[in-house]
Amino acid sequence: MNHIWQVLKEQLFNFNLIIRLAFYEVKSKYKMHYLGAFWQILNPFILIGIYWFVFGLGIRGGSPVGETPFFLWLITALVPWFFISSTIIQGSSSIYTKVSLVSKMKFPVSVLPSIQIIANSFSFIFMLLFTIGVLLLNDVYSGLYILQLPYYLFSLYFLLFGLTILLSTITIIIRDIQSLVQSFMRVIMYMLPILWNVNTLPDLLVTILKLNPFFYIIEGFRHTLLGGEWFFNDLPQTLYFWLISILLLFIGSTVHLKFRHKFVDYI
Amino acid sequence: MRPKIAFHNVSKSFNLYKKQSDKLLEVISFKKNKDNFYALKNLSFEIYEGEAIGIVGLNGSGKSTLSNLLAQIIPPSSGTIQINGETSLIAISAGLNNQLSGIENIELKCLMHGLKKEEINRLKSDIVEFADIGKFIDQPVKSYSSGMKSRLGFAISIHTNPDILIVDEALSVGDQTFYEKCLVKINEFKSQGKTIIFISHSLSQIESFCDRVMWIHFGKIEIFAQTKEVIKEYKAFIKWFNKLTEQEKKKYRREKLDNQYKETNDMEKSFTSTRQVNRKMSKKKSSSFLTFQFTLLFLSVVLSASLMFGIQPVQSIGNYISSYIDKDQSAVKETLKEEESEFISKEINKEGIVFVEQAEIYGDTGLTNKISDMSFANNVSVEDQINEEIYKVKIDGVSGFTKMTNIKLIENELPVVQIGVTDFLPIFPEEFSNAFEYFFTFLNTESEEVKSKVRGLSNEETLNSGERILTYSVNDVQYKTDLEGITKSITVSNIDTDRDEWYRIKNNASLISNDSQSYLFKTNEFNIVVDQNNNTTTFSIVE
Repeated sequence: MNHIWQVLKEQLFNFNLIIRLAFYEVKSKYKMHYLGAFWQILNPFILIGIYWFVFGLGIRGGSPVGETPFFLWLITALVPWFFISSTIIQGSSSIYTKVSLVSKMKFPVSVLPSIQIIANSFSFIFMLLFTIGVLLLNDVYSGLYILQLPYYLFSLYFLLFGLTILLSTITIIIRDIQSLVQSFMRVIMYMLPILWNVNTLPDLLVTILKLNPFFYIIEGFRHTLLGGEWFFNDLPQTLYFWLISILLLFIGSTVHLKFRHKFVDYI
Repeated sequence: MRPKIAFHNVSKSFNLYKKQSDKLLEVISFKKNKDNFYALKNLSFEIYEGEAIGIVGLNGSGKSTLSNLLAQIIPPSSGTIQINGETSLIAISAGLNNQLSGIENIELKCLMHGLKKEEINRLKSDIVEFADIGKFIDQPVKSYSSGMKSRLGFAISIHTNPDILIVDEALSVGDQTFYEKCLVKINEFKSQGKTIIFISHSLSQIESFCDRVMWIHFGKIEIFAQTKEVIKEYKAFIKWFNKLTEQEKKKYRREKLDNQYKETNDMEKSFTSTRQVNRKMSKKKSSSFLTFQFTLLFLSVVLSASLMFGIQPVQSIGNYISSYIDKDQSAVKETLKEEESEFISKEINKEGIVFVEQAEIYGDTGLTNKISDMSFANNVSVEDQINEEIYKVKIDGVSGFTKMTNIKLIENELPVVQIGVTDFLPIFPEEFSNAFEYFFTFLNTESEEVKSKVRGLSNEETLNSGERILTYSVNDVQYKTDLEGITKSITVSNIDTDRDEWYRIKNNASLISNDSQSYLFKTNEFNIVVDQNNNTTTFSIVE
């Protein structure tokens, strides 16, 4: 537990540094592109379009999910998922790609994953506001349920931090993790209720899918944006989510603190 | 005077691996590799404020390891290091990003040193001017010559205002003019009372401004004294060393390196001192505490996962607590015991009637998978009460779940009222009331016959259930058939529920929905449902 505090304290003390470097990251990433940071928003729009076309019009034949039009149902989950998958993929290589930069100076390496998380947040927040706008235009109001948004955002960031600090550390030691994460994220996307409604499956299978902590997040965002349920309605899953998030952060921070002095050796 | 830097018995060892997989094995098993190489051993010295220290030595003698220790980039394997102040290491192309341009590297490195935007903008022009690499400052660093890289690196590091500056052979690639410029800057630093550590093979550079010189020889300090003295000794050694033949040189090196291994093993043997044992013990303790925490967390994750698979009593406690979350704590405790034993499910087995305009029927107890809708006044048989909110119902042989508030259990038969079709005439639309008798004659008739005789069919539709709907929108009439195609009900739309006559009729209703918008009149001939929301009346034949 001490390790968790130590790593979290480093994030807090270096908060300004994280924000400034995140801004720099966004600015420099698309420097060579003519459309610049616009790509951060253009990319998800293209993907939303194709998923809506294939799964909404093609496979479902345009039928709504319950009473919600498929397009709205889709974007409430797809927008957080874009953020999750890009953050995990880039976050897990964040230390590896930067270690040559920081190896010759005193630098709190544990903030590198956070920088990636914050850098990706800019487009996420924009897309989230866009989603809420689209919902309002379609007269879909979630009412009081929107109050859950800070809770689910916090849960999301907590899980992402624990996971990226773990993955970024072991990527240094075992380079294969990076490739594994990339293909795994693609698989996981189809095991979540993003593109299709998993509730047609038997209960047991759905519960097995719910063991994926991102299931909780994705469903949560949908409940928040479309209205429907409070997060404490499913206490066992909430409990499970927080325990596994803390476990991931525990392993991540322990491994990180144990190996960070050796990062230079492993490159 | 307080020392700026104090080393006390500092050693640094590296593990040597034969294969990539050996690294991984050490990580996984947490075992210490025995094949250690001591790059530095038992270093003890102190450096004071305002001093310029030179470090000399052969290649591979441990100079760069020492500079990394001084810059706090790597921790020592044993011993203690005390450093009072911020250090900055300048090495050739140290930490520059090859993809970014020079100016972007300046911004990035300054950001990483924790400087603010205004500070960076202030420093940027100074750094560019000092580095003096012309238009290349806007080009990616990968196109730089090594001289340019070192100039840029030096310029950045020196402007981040460190207390202790460590220069690791960075000046040897610069030309004479840049070297002069650096000397001016370094002397400026010295006069400000800052400490400079200067690692170089160029003895003339070291002689020109170092106060003291440390000669590192195969991991140990050979001499650490005044510049003149050390330089004299070192020059003598180099002279002697160069006189040796190639083979003698090799032999000398190998002997010294072997010593660095051998001493390693000697040291490990002598580590049986009590202090070392104590440290190992405490290490063991903390690692077993970690394992304990890990196991605890892991077990609770497994436990909570098994909760998700629905061990019933615990689940219902969860539901119970969440629904009573804002109620009195003691009340929760009291009723909890009852609920635990009682609330698995309760048998009802009674007839019920849909009590709302439309009741959603779901396929699961979580009420997420909707299977059908039931409209007001439909009969259902209620089988069980699943929890405090949900009934299990059966409709036409299909089981489903719905909210308890949707259903009213019928304790006694609903009262039959004496009311006829003609009583509704005032509220019917004119198009229908003109010919209502004609339309009623087609109840209980083959739909094909209706279609052939009644003119003006505007729409025909077959429902999923197999029932069919014939719509005559001009006359505001809709027929609904049963599965065999016999018309069983007639729905009149556009009725006028604002008429006084309606107010008189509706008080006689057999059943009124919970929102008081739908009314059921049970007569011997028809079940009549009036829906005020949609302004429709439906007459269904009583079987």
